[in-house]
Amino acid sequence: MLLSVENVSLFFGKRKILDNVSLKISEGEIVAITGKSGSGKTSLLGIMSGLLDPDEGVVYYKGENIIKWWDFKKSRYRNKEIGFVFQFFNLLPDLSAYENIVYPSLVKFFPTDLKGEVRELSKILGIEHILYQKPETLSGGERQRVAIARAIINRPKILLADEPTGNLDTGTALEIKNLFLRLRDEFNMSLIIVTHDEPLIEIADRHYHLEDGILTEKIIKRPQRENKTKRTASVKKTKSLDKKAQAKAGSKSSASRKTADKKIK
Amino acid sequence: MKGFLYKLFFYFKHDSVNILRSFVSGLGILFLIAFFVMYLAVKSAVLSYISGSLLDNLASDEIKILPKNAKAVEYVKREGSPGISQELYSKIKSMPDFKATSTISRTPFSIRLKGEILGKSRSTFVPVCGVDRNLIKDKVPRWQSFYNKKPVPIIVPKFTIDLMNNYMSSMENLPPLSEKDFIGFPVELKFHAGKRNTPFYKEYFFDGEVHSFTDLLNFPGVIVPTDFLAEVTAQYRRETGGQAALDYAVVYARVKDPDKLPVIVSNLKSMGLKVESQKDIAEKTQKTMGLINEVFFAIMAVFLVVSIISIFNSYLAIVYIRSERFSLQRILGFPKISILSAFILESAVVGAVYGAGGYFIGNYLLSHGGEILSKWVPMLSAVHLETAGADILFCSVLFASAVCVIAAAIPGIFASNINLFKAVRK
Repeated sequence: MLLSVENVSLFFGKRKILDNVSLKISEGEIVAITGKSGSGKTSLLGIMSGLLDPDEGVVYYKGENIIKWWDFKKSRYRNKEIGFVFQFFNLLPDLSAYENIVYPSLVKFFPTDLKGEVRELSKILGIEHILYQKPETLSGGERQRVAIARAIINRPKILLADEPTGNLDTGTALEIKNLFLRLRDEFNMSLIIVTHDEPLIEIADRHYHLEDGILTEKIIKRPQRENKTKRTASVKKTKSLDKKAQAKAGSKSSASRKTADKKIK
Repeated sequence: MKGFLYKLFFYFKHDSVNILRSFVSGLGILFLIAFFVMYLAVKSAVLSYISGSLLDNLASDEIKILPKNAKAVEYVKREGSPGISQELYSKIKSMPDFKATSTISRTPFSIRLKGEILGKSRSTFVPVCGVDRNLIKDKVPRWQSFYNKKPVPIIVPKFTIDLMNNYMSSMENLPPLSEKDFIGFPVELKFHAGKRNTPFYKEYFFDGEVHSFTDLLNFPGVIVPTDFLAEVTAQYRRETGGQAALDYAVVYARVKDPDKLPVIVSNLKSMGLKVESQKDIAEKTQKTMGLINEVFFAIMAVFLVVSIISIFNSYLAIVYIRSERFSLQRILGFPKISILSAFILESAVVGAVYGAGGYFIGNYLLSHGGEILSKWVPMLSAVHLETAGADILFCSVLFASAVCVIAAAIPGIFASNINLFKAVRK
């Protein structure tokens, strides 16, 4: 189990935001969370990322209770293990796309040179031509791709996405959905997506609904067989990619990913 | 290393605007440090001036005897000003408790000083007082030759060199003369004794010469030997039958046994005199220094408070303007300490620059301002304002940095504890 939320409750004053919420996420799993505005979805993401401490309950990451961690360890956890994607992209307007992408790496006192890494990611995300542009000159889809690149620059294990397609048109939303699938398949990343977007719910392995602070699992409406076949195929691909990636570690890793890209395509 | 250099470049590129903003807000620190440097110089100058003063410095076995109602030493006799009569002085001198006495004497006569260069002369009224030779022992060069002789030796305050140059040398387009050039310079002393148009009016002429210059004299006049003044006044009394025209502004007395000081002081007080010992002088000095400290500290406190509020406000504005950025930084994994340390580092740099700047401005004002001030008020030339040393530079940098860091720390803490969902919930 990668991340486990157990019996978590959260209060804002007297108001109960989350009521005894439990949730488990495994590696490479996609979980969709839906709910009305103000139902506590973002707060739940905040608790999972260590940004908020619940009033009751615990959160385990790889068996460790993150609530007990000091700020420094929680920050490192957010920086290394978690990636965030927001509805409004939250790119820093005075930085270029490239600078926005490498921003999380500047946490380290001696950051590694990420030029190659950014180039590689930007190719995957199709944003290599806009790397030196300011966010204000980019379209919604491009901004979200830059935001995704920023979220995964440190190769996190979990990607938390808060309404990632909420501010995008249908076509671009579909592209983002495909990107999420690729991230799961290529990097074996777990995705927790807060969304109201049906196509995104469809790619999820599990779907939860949050209402009045209570989290309930919902059945995803899709043919059972098709779903199973799809999942099996994607996991197979992921495994083969992982083996290749391990074999061609270091400088050759980019080449292996290019091959993997072609295979997925 | 490449990544670190990029990080440095990144911060320089994007945060230099903030540093500029902080610089503007921290301007008060510059004045605070400049003022602090000047305060130290003024304090040490005043202390050394008082302790080195020719007539206000006492040894541990020495007392200063003044007329009963004297508020301060009056070196020139005015009508009604209190003084110690010659008879009273004789009584003091004959007391067995003293091993030596010396005086500052004065006459009510107006005295004109006349100097001449290349046939052109200038004369001006100057205040004149008399001192005993042993009062200036080891404090004035060639003090041994300061006694009643012809020509009369005259000790002149140093600041009068400029006046003499203005009066004499510039008149003849001569280059300014130095202190050495003026030693032995011949002058004429003209005494106007008694009331004009009465049988008691007399004029006396004496040849004099500049004996030495001193900046230990807090008196805007010249000094002649007391025995010379005594001789002139005795001559006047003999010739006109007028009243005794010499009295004493101060009598300095050296006691044989300092343990007996309380008894001696009480005896002198019973004779209607005022007595000051080294302790009294120290108290007076302390009082003066206390006043200087209070004034300077009040001004510096205002600068300090204004600077702290200004820096605090500026950084607080940065926190509110960039709250979204700080929130995002926290979400992306920047620890609290990293945000706080950015504030502290930035303010420390601003403080260090202002500390060094204030030090140099203070020193500049001391070296140039002191010169200008002594031209306006020549007497102040006796107060030497020395520029601050490297140790003060270090202290200034440290102090200014500390002030800036303290002012920026609270906004920094606000920034590091900012609502983390501000960025998420736009």
